[in-house]
Amino acid sequence: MKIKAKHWLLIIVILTLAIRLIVSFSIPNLTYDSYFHLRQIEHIEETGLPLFQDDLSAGGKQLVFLPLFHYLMAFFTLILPIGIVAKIIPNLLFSTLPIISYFIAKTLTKDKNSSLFSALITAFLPITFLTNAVTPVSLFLPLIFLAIYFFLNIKIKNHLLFYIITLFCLCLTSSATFLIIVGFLIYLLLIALENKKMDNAELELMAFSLFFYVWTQFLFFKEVLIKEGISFIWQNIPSQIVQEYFPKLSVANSLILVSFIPFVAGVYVVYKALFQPGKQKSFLLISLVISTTLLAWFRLIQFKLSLAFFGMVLAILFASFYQEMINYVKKTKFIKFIPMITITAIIILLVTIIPPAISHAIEQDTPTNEEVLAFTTIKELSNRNSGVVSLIEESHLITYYSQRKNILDTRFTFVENVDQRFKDITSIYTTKFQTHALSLLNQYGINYIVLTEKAKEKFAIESLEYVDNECFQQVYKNNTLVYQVKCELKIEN
Amino acid sequence: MDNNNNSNSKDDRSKDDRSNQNIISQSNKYFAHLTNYKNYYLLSLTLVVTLIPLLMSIFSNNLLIQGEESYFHLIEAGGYSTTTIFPYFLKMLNYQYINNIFIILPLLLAFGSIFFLLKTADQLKLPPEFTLFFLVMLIITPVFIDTFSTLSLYGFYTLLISLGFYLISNENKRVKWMACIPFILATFTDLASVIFLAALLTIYSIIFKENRRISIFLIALIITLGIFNFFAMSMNFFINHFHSQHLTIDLISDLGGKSGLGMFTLLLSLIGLSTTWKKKNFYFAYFFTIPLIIFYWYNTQTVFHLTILIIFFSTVGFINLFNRKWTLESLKRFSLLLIVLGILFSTLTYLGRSTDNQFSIEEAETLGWIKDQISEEGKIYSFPDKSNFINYFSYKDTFHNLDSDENKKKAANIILNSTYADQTLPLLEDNNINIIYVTEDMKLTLPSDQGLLFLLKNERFKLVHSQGDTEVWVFSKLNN
Repeated sequence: MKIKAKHWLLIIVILTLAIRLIVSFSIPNLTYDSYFHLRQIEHIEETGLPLFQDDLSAGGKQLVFLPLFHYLMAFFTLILPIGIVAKIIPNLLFSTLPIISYFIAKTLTKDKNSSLFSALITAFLPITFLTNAVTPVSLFLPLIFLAIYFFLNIKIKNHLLFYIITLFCLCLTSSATFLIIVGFLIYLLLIALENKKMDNAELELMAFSLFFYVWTQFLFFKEVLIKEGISFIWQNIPSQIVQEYFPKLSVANSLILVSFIPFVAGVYVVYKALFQPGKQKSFLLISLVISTTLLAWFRLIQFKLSLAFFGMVLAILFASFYQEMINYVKKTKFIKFIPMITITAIIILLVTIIPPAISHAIEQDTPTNEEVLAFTTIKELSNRNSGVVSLIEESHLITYYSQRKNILDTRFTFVENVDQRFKDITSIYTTKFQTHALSLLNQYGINYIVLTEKAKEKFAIESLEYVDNECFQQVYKNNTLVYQVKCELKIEN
Repeated sequence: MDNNNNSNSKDDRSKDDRSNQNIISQSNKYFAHLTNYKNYYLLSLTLVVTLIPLLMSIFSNNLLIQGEESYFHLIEAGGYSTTTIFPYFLKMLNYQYINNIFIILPLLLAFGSIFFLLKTADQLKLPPEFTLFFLVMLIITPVFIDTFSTLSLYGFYTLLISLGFYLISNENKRVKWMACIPFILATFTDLASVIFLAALLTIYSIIFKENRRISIFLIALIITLGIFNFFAMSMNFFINHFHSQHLTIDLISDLGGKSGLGMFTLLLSLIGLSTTWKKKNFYFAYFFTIPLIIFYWYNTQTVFHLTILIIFFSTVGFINLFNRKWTLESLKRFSLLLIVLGILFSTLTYLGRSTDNQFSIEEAETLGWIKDQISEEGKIYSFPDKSNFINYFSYKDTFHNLDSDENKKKAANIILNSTYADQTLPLLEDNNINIIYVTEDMKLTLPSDQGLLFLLKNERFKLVHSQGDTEVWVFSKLNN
């Protein structure tokens, strides 16, 4: 019995979902940033509204974010416990990517077998193999490719409506929808450069998407735009760590994360489409590749997101490459080797993408159980108004598990003196002088210091040099140390 | 019979299609009404838009004359050393002792400008939809609101050139020549505005050939006067700065700019630019673009001129976008709604924050206290974007303003940010600064644990007056 393409697709989806869930449940906790989103989801579950005014983040500030993902997750928490929802739903959403990439590839190539290759690469793309991340990216990626699919098939009945609904959801999920808008503009430019005729419906849809996107973002980010001006793009990220969010492109690193073979194939397809006539269908995807590269190059979009998007587009373009390769082989005397070529291609792909994907998933940056316990203990030991200091990336654990104030976390927008706060946290961990540490701790109202293994590694310290029994009490001791601050620095006249 | 019915229903459907598509044409009864009564609507809109900031000032207990530029001209009106025409105009009004004329003057300038622009458009028989959209976009643009809610040189300039174009477009020859008066007066502004006016008249002479003779004469006259004013009368190339320059923020009001225009207007202008690209009729508009961008690059105060060009392209973009037949009909109305909402959103957001950083009665009273109580000679140190306001009410010079030379700016920066008294205090002494005027925005933006606010704890500073969020500190010099 011959297995149909849709069955193969189902197998790929089930396989990827199964692997994702196994890895996800074998890692006990979620990535650090996930705890911010979990807190939002829980707040929606309790009150029906996101927590836009957070009294704990950076000592209390306004939060700005697009809430659709959190609402979606909160909806599932009505049926399942949040711990399960946090592990299943993002993986389920990521697992829809192969289906979408299959249909986009099929639209481009009209060939089921080639499209299955796209689905396979997408399923195990290392950069998207984040099994323990509760992040809007898990909704954003399927939605943006769904939008691309509907856009490419706009003439099919109801696809216009589906496109508008998808665009609406996208605009409420992530501002990175900007990628598709810039992609459209580059698409227009490419069409004009090639002297090709632009489809009216596409043009109208692009204009509509542009205005709709700008309008929705203004509604949500009005205050940020007014307060921070053009620098809202860089989200007030401290200058000391801006490099982590918008690093310079490293070709070697990028190749591993998007996989070498799809990358080479993608480059070939882009080259062919740009310099050989009759390849207009791929233009939109090529425009998206160009827009992603440009935006990442100019540091207008976070590197990891741009890489995920880039990897997906390359996976889809791989279908065109494979189709062309098979068509070429068909013209040669190697025609009888086509099944063997296909199997070899599958094996090479599986070997080159699955191990990096799984290793990427296993190496996810998550807190240990012991660290989680330390943060939970602080909640029991401290009073409501206490402040806690930890590494910035661990700060969402303070607000989620300890439910106490932090100095700074990864939501930098609206934080006053963000660079100073970042410097002060570093000083708290590295200073040798107790008076200096106490003045900073008093200044931010900090009562507890958390020293995790990660912090020790980051600052190359074993303990805090200024800690003594008079002013500090060790309230939790394991690999992670928690100190309670007992002294207050007073200036006497 | 059936065939007849079919063809009738097809006709009806195509009629429906057309009426669905014709949103901005006379076949749309609402649009037809708007264009027929555009003069009333546009003048009412002008009144509403210019009244709102005034009313907001009243309700916020702020001064009714707002804007650093207003006080710059009011100070100049009190002296004799001005190179622009506006302070003379203000002085003339002041002689007439018309109570509170300065409060409603911006509103009158706006009303007059729009009135003459409408009349000019009627005389030139410009397409009504173009006039309507161009003026609506202009009136609700933050730069227009900003210009016409202060005593602004560009507000007066707009009135003069709109009056000039109204007169030159008149059929009566004698009236035509009367256009010389407002155009000549308009040359007493800044050289950039003179160049802008000359370019406008050049385009006018190309399009409206019947007025070519007088236009050419006027261009020659304006250029000669502009050059004369610039070299012989020391007229500025650009108007002075009245706020710190930021290229992006000053252009796009949605990014927190003091004026500028909305993002949607800018996007529409890009559509306008792309649809008219390489069209012969629009060459004149491209002719404008590059010099205006260069002017803007050097002085963002010229955003007013650039805005007029951008709004021109936005209007063209808007009309092109909605006059064409859309394949996806349902999107057309939705897109129109989005654009209208987007443009309104920018205006409303701008109006909503128009009371931010306004001059309060409290501040004016504090400065009045300085005038009455501190007789000692010396300069006031404060933020440079309030120097004219401080100068006007306190009758004292400020140490620096936005047009100060680099050395002064450098010294001012050290005073503001240095934590070391031995660095700041000699600078205050050397520059004869004896008053530090601390405002609410200084307290909000400056750190209290370093820089100037921290140094105020030094024994040589004494808090002599405080009212609300404003404080007056006196710096005692060593030889005193």
